[in-house]
Amino acid sequence: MHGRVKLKSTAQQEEEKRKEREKKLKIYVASRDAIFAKRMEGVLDDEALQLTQQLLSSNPDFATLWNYRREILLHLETVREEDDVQKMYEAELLFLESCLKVNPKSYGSWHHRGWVSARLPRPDWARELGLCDRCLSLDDRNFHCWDYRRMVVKMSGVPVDQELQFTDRLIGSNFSNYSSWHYRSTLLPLLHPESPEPPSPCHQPSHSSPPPSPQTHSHRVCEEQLLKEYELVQNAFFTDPNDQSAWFYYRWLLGRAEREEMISCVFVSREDERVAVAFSRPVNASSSGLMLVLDGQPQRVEWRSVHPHFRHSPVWICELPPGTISDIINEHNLTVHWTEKHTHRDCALYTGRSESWCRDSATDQELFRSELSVEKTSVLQSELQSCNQLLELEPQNKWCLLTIVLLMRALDPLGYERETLSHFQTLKEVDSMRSAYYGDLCSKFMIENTILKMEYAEVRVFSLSDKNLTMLCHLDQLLLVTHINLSCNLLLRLPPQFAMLQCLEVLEADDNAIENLDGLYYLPKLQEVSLKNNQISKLSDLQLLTSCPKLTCLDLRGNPVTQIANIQSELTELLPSVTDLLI
Amino acid sequence: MNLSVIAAACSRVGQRVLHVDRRNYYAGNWASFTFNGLLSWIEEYKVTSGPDAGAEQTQQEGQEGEVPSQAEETQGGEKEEEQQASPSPAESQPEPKKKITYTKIVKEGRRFNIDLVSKLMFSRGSLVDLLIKSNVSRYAEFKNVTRILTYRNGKVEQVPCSRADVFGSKQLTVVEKRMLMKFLTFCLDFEQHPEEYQDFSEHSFWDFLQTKKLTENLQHFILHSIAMVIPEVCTVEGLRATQHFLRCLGRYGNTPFLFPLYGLGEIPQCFCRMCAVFGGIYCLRHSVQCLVLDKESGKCKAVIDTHGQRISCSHFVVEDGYIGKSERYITFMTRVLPHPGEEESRGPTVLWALYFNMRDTSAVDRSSYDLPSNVHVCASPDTALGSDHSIKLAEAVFRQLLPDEEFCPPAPNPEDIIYDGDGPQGEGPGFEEAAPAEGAGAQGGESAERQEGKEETEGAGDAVTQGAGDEPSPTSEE
Repeated sequence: MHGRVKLKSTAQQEEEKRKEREKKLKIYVASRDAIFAKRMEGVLDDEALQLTQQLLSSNPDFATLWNYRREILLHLETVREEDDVQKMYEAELLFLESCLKVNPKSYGSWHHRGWVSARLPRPDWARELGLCDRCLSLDDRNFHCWDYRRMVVKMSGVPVDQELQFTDRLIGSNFSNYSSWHYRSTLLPLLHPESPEPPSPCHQPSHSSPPPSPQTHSHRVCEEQLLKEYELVQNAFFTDPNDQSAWFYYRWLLGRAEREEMISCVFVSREDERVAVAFSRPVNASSSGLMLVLDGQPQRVEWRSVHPHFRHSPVWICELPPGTISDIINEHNLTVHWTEKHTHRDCALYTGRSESWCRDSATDQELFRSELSVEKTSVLQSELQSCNQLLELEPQNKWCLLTIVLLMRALDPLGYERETLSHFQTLKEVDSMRSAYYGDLCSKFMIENTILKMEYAEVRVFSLSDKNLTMLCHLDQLLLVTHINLSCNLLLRLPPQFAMLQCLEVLEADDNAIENLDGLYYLPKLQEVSLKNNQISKLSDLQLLTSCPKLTCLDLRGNPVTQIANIQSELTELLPSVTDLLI
Repeated sequence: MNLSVIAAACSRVGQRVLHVDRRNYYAGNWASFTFNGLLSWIEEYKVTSGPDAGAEQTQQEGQEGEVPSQAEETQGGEKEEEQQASPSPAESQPEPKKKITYTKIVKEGRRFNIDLVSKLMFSRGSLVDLLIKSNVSRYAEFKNVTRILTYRNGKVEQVPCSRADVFGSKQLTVVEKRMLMKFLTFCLDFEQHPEEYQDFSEHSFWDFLQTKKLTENLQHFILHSIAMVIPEVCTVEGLRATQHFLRCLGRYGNTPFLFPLYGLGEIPQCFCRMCAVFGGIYCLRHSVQCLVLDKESGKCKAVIDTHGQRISCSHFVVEDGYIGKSERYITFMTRVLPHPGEEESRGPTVLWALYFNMRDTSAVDRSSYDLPSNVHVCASPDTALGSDHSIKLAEAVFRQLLPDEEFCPPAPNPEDIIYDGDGPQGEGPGFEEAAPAEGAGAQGGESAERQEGKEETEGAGDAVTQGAGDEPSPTSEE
């Protein structure tokens, strides 16, 4: 073994390291105790600054020490000249830089840096930006640095276009970066806002016609820039279709208009002396000044949501004082004022009519396009083409499939119904972990389509049997429906929202897996309920039916509940009004 | 290169190594030179027109010369790497109008280095692995090649190879981007999908590419700039080359290649330094005259140098340029061009060019020589872009020399070394100390701290007949 370099053995090295660590720990604990003692005594001096610096440089996550440090600095600020304060804080920044090298993701260090930068008498923002750039070049997803950088940009007023170029650069070097894409989405509307004049004839109503359109376009980007963005993001998802950051940005680009809050429907029933009001979004009407004027006279009424579960609801109900509108020979004019939004809606109840309503005729545009809405169909068309092109190359790509589905919805929900369904089938196969999500989404789209068909046919019958529905939604749109058929689906419950079907007379929901009837709550006109072959198992599940005064027919065949002893008599006792009971 | 690796490996495990090189610079045929250094090198070889290299230079002072058409033939296809370690092209960037002239190149000759052999380091190649494993990497600085260019349809274009490149490429349509990414993703683990290429195992890579729905564009990129193979290689070999390229991506940057900051010649020099740190002795401008053989065993027991000094040894390693008979030559062509991005439509202008041949001994088999069993042969640079062959060879020779020892184990950190007075050899000095100089002739310094002079590196020896060059000849008992 001669001639070799002699090395310490592993055990020796370990031992040395252990001793070293022990020594360090001793010093650390001693300084910590010294610092706490000083703080207890309220000492705010340079020595304390030094001690905390020692500790923080080895452990920058010790938040208490940063707090103490700030106390000291604030105190020193009051007793020193401005130049000295500047120097003091500059030294602090330098120290912080060394801390960030130890741990570039330390909450304490970044927060303290923000605090110091804001207090610096003569801040050097260019230097701070440089620091952020260096940090982000090492880890472009360090959100601490992103946060700090946003603060620096705000404080120093960096021009927006410069920031957009910054995101260009970061996306160019690695486009799997949510922070960059998101930052872009906040900059674009500032830099390239949508032109103020009506962009296209089809949307003129939203700006000129008296009833405000259900769509608003805030945060929109001008079309020229949008086209550039489409190109950019397509480059990303064609390069790597499995990277979701680009797809999310794409969804944002394709539109995110929100429906404006407004009264979408007023319904009045003479017999029940009841008024129901539907809104475009869930609201809390009991607190937001909803006022009913009947024949010029403001009425003192109590508004309630359709189900006690909801403080916010798209449908609100009130009962009129008995006898107010019950005489069929009278004509009445109602106005519902919504003072919070300075809007109102009228409804006339003519002589001889037992009910009346006033509503917008719903079209697909207004109802369901809010999630993807771009001005021009042509743009959507060409985006759909691109995605189809990608799908040809990547038939299994879930992001592509889902985006295609959304584009088809935005373009022509009924026309693309069959393709949409088959894409959903593929989605459930390629992404089986989320098959329930796709099932729900598909149910939602099927319901939307059925609502559209119903609107076009101007009927009050809603039939959605055998569509693999896993959930119910958009029930506020069904306020006027009298007959509903939900048979042969995969429903587990009739949710509380079901109580929005204020006009419902006949419910068919055979052959589902329903075990819960929360939604059958105070439905004033409900007469027939058919729930054959479901999973209702307890008598108490049927308790709520007692709130439906007109219920006469109930079919419970094929439910576990029918196995209960004495069920017949129990039910007769529970629901005396039901004359036609099948079990 | 492989000589210096063997020298370092032997020295590292405690063998005594004497490394002689008849040249006055390190690294032999692997050397890098400043422009002026290269000019002197040319002068030297013009005179000798030595055994392994003859150089010819063409220079067109000030005037423009068209690119000679041989340009493409000479060096493995149309592909070009970005000129490495040459800041001079970059200078032209701020003022593209300013013409670079030959005079200027001479004047600025120390601002860039030129490698004798065109090699790059694959980020996951065996050379890089060895540099990391042995800690030799600490002796040099490296840079990542920033982009890869290709010459196509009379234009120099950037090759999109990484994800970011593909994303940012302006020349590809989105569909091309997808197809390229798809193909590259497949190559990354092509062994997992034998069904994709099995039918083509008898066909060429080129044929295989035709079936992949790749546009002509993409086929060119993949074949010439990513796989970097000739169209005729078999499918699996092409796939493997592509895979190797891709696996090297992203380790240090967006291209798979590293280069030593001051040229390839740094690498042999780094290993020489490692050798010297562990006690190896270096002699430049010194050759071995003959071997002394033991009559009975037929082994080499000593060498006699040109001064007549007898040096005993137990093994002798030599580069086969000294004993070889290979008839293959590699032709090198070095051109100094303006920055690739900005030549006019007429194409780049050659300011200066150098042609020379170097004997290619990489394929020569040791068994073709009749040599004593303890004389080992190393090869000169081969034609491949990476250095894997040399490293493999070095390890093989080392295994023959010292079958029971580890090949280049990590060098210890200075603080882990025990100093207990002088060891019997006086070896194992600290890293910054000079190596023991007993045997070293006047010329032989330690390889190491020569950074400044940048007169590249140790000789991968031509000198060799014995003991020359960088070969390690671990000496010990007679």
